[in-house]
Amino acid sequence: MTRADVLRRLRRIRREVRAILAGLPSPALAQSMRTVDRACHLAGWQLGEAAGLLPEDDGRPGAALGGAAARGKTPASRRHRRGTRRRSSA
Amino acid sequence: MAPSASRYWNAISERRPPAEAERLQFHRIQAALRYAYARSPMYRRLYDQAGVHPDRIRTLDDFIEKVPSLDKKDLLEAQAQGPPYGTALAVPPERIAYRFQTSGTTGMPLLIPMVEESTVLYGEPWTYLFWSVGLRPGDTFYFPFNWGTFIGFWAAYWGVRRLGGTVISGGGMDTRARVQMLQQVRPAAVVGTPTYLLHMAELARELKVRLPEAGVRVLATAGEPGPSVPATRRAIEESWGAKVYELYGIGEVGSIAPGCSGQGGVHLCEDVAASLVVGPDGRPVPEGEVGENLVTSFGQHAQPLIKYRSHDLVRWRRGRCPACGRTWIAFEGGVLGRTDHMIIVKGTNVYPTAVEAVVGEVPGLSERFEVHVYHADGGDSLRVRVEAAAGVAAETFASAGRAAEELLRQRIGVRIGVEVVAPGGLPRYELKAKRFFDHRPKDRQWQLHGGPAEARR
Repeated sequence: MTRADVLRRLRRIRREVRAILAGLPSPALAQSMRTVDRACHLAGWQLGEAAGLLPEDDGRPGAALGGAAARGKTPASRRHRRGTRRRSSA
Repeated sequence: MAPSASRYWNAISERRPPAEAERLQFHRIQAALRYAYARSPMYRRLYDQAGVHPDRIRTLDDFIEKVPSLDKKDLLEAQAQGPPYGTALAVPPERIAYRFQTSGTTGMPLLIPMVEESTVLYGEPWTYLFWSVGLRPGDTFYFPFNWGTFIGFWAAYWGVRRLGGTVISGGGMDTRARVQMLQQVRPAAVVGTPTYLLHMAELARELKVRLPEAGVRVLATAGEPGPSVPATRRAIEESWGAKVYELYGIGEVGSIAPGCSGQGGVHLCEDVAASLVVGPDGRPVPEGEVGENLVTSFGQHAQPLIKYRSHDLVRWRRGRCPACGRTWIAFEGGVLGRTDHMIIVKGTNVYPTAVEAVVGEVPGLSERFEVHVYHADGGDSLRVRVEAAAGVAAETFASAGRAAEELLRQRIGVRIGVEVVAPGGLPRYELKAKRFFDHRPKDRQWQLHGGPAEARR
């Protein structure tokens, strides 16, 4: 399974989880679903998907950066390729 | 391949090509900037005053040049404005799952609020450490620790939970009971500060308990340098019969850098933090040089930390580590000192860790020491108090002291007085040892680690 496959499945799981959360009457089940959502968000982060810092931030404007970051088409990376970026540790 | 056979806890992160890692780190920095600006009144005010908006930080150079740094006193001030957390807080209070605090030995304790997600990211670097040194799900971990407000070993506990190991608590008992318990539980790993592990070993000798027979394989430490100092590492490993590894963490920032399995330093866990290593002018220092570690945390959500002054001095390198294969930034030798513990003696920079490395090599001396700093006649001077090793005759103290003075002069290049005290003559600590005693006037201390003009980078 490729990284892209895993990320796609994680996004699908999170959509399902949020749909379930919206209709749950039980605090216990809701908490379990939130745990699933947090775990999926963390897995995405570990795969290098630059998204929001917290699970609830993923839908916010500007938080989901995955596309550009994953393809490497960013101002920082373009400067890096040109060799103009200052050396630093960050 | 079964996950348990993997050499890495997360090879995707640990072995990410450096250019890709740098791109990803910068995007995570952008996410952290947006997060803090949107959620924390303290950051909004700080950035507005500096004329900075996260959307206009488009390159790493923008981040270096335009984004102001933050220091502990900024957080303390923010907390004081609206206790308990004040304007630094970035989450609704009901999201806070834990509250810790710093020791407050240098002033007011800093409160450290944590959301649930942060506990995972504080624990994760410990999991990376455990996995890299061969610990696996089902292994047992002993915590000779009282589960107080010091966050470091709570993070280690969260790391064991992530790994799938078994936690055995040594809370609520004294060191003697813990030494005895070790023989019963025979853990695979013990977690503690280097100082406390040495104290346990000392007591075990008194109790005629042979620690190596407890079967411990790994000692995992945090809170102070130690395993990266060869003499201290040797003292710990010989007394326990186990390998010792360290993790570099900063309470309010997180556990940020698990030790290298080659024991030559630590690697920044780039899932949880980014580092910028800067010189006294606030500019990044070249690879291989020593500078202060400015940290941006991706794991502290309740009280974000961006370009935070750690005051820790590190020597950074990027590239695949020949010892462990990670591509994460390496801090060679771990934390080399503190900007606020640096002393200039006759034009030479001296750090307590350099003293530690020397005294541990002198026959007849233990690894326990204190550095006392004085200011007189226009300059700083140092005096080192070091404890003699157990069983060493008192009549040899003076010659051991002279040998240490000579070795210090050869290694550091300045003359430092050494006083040798009897075994047991220096205090014992359960957590971090207090080794640095600054007797200089307050204004002198401030001048040395950055006056008002330098405080904000």
